[in-house]
Amino acid sequence: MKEKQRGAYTIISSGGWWNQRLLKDCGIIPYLFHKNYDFHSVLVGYNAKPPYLPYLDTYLKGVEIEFLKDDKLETRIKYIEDNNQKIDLLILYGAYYQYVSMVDCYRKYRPDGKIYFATDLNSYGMDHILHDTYEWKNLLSQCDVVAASCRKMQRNLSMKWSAVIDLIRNGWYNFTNVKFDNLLEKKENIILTVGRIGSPQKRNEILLEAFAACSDEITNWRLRLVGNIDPNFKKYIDKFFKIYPHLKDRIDFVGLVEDKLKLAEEYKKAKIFAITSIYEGGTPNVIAEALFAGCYIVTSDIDGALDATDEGRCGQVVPLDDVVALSDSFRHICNDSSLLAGGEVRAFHYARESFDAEKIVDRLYYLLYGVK
Amino acid sequence: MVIFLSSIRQENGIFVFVDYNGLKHLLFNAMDFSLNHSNIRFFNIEEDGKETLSMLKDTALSLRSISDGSVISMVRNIVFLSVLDELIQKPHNYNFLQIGDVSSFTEQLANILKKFNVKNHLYCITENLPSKNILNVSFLTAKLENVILPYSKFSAVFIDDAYINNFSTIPTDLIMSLKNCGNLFFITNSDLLPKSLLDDSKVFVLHKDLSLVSLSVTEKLKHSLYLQTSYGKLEQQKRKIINIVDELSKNINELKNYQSVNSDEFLDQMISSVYQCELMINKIYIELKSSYIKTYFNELKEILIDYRLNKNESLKENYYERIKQHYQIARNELTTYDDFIFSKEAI
Repeated sequence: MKEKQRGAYTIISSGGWWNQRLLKDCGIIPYLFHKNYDFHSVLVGYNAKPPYLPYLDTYLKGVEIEFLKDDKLETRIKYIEDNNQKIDLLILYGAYYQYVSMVDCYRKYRPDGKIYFATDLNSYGMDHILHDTYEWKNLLSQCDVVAASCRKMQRNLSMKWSAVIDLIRNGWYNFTNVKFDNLLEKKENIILTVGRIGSPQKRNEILLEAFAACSDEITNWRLRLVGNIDPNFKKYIDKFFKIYPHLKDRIDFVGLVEDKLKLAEEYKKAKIFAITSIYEGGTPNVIAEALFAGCYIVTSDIDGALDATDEGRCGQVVPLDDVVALSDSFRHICNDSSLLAGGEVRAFHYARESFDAEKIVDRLYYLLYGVK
Repeated sequence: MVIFLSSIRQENGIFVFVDYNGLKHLLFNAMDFSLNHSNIRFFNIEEDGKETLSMLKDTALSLRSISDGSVISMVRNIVFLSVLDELIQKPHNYNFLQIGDVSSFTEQLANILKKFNVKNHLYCITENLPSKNILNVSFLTAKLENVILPYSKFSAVFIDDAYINNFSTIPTDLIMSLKNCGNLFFITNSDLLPKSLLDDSKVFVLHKDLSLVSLSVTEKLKHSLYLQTSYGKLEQQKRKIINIVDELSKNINELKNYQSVNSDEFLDQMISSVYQCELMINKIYIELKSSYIKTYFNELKEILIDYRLNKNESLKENYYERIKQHYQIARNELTTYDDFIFSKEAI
C-alpha cells in the first residue's frame, strides 16, 4: 500500500501571500520539501482581494495555496482543527504571539506532528518579545526546530530563550537555472542594490550620498538601484540630482525587475552589492542571491552583517547611517582590485557552502526527522 | 528518640526534660562548665560587672523565669538550652539560622553567640522587617521558598513558631544547609515525619498533634538526600553532560579514520549525543555562568550534520578538522568557568 503523502503547511501569522513573498524562504522551503521530500506543501493565509501570484505556477510548481475567509486568529485555529490530520509539518514564519494558541491547538490533535518555527528575528524584534512568559516558553517547548536566520541572532536568542536555537539561513534557490560560467570575468564596475528603493528601512539616501562623496575617486564605477521606487523617495532623487547633476549618467534607477533571469543578470554584472538598511529580518534574501553571483558585499551593520560577508572574507561591514564610512569603504574596495577579486571568489564559494537553499532544506529536514 | 514532654525543670542549675513517665532527660548543665573546652574566657568581667560564667548561669536560669508555660516558650527554651549546650562543647565558629519572626529569643541567642565567640553569627530569614538591628545578626526579609540556602553552612537551624502548621515537610535544601551533625529544630505533627528521619531525631511531643523535632543531620542523611536537592539534580545533569562529552571525544577521534567508520548510523549517534547535550544544557542554562555554551554545542551539531549530509569525500578531511575544533571550543567552555567542578559530596 502506498504511504500517505506527508503534508507541510505554512500558515502566515496574519495577512496573506503576495508574489514576491513566494520566492522568499516562506515559499522556497515548502517548495523544496515538496520537490525533494515529496511533501504535499500548502501555503495558507488571508488575502482580501484575489492576489496576483504568477510565481506560484511558474516557480513553485506543485505547491498549493489556500485562502482563509478572514484574517482572524480564530479562523487560523479553526483551520488547524479542521485540517490537523493533513498537517504533518507545521511551518511558522516570524515571531508572533498568535502562534501560542495555534501551536497549542496543533499539539492537542497532533502530538506526533512536527513544528518548524522560523523566527527570522532581528535584535529589535527580539527585545520587544515577552520571552519570559509561560506562554512563550510553552510555545518554544512544543516546537521541534526553532531557528534564527543569522549567527548573531542565533547566539542572542540562545542566550535569551529557553530553547535550542538552530541556524537556518535565508538561502537562494536557482529557480531559473541561471548559468554562472566565467562569472567573474564578465563583471563590470557596478555597485548594485536591490530592494524597495526609498523605503525608510533601506536608507538608500545613505548609499547615494556615499557614492556621490567618493565618485571623483572611483570615476569608472556606476551605481544601479533595482526595485520599485517609493513615491516619497522621488522628491529626494530630484533634489539629489540637482546637487549632483554630473552623476545622472552614472546612477541608474532600474525599477522593478520581475523577470528572475534578468534580475540574475544584474547580480552577475555587479562587482559590489551594497545594503544600507538600518534593520533586516536576519540575513536579507538578496544577500544570498548576490553571493551566488560572486558579488563582494558592502553592508551596514545589520544583525546578519557577519553572515553576509563571511566575517569579512567576502565583504565589509560599515556602521549604520554612516555616509563617510560607506564612501571610504567604496573608495578602498573599488581601488583595490586584488581585494575585490579575492572577495568575489570567496563569495562565490561561500554562497554554495552556506546559502544553497537545497542544502539548507536538507539540514532542516535532518533536524526535524533525523535527530533523535 | 521520642520524649513525651511533661515539663522542663531546673534543679540547682541543671536543666532537664521530665517526660510523662517521670523520667528526667538532661538538657543543659548550667552549673558545671569544668569539662567544656570552649574558648570563652569564663572569668572575663562583663560591662555590668558580672563574670561571664556568672552571666551564662544567670541566662540559663532566667529561662525558667521568662517561660510563661506556653507551648511556644517551652519550645524556645528547649532550643535555647540545646544551643547553649552545643556552644560550650568546642571553640567553633558557629553559624546559626533562625527562620521566623524576630523576637526576644533572637536577641538573646545573638547575645550569647557573641559572648562565646565574636565570629559566631546568627542569620535570620523573616517575612517581617525587624524594628531594630542586632549586632552579629544578618536579616533577610523573604519567604523561605524564595531563598537559595548555602550548602553545609549552619550548625543549627531553628524554624520559629511562625511556621507552625505549614511545615509538615522539610525542604531538602534546608537539611543540606546544615553541617554534618548540625541540628534542625522545627515544629510539626510528628506522625507526618518519615520513619527514616525519626531515627535521627529527638522528638519532644508537646501535645497530641504538635511536636518539636530536633533532627541531627548526618552525613548519611545528606548523602541520601543529595540528589533531591536543586544542586544535586543540577550536578547530576552536569555529570551526564560531561560523560556524553567525554564519550564524544572518543568518537571524534574515530572519525579520523573516516573511510572505515563514518557510517550514517555512527554519525547519527554522535549528532544525537550532541543534541542530548544541547537539551540538557538548555534545561540548566540559567544556572550556568557560560553565556555561549548553548551556541557552541549547537555549532558542533551543525558541523556534524554538514559532515553527515556532505557526500563529497574530498571535503571530509577539512570537515574533520573543523569538527575537532568545534568540539574543543565546546569542551573548553565547560571548563572555563567553575560550572562543571563538582563538590566532593557528589554522587
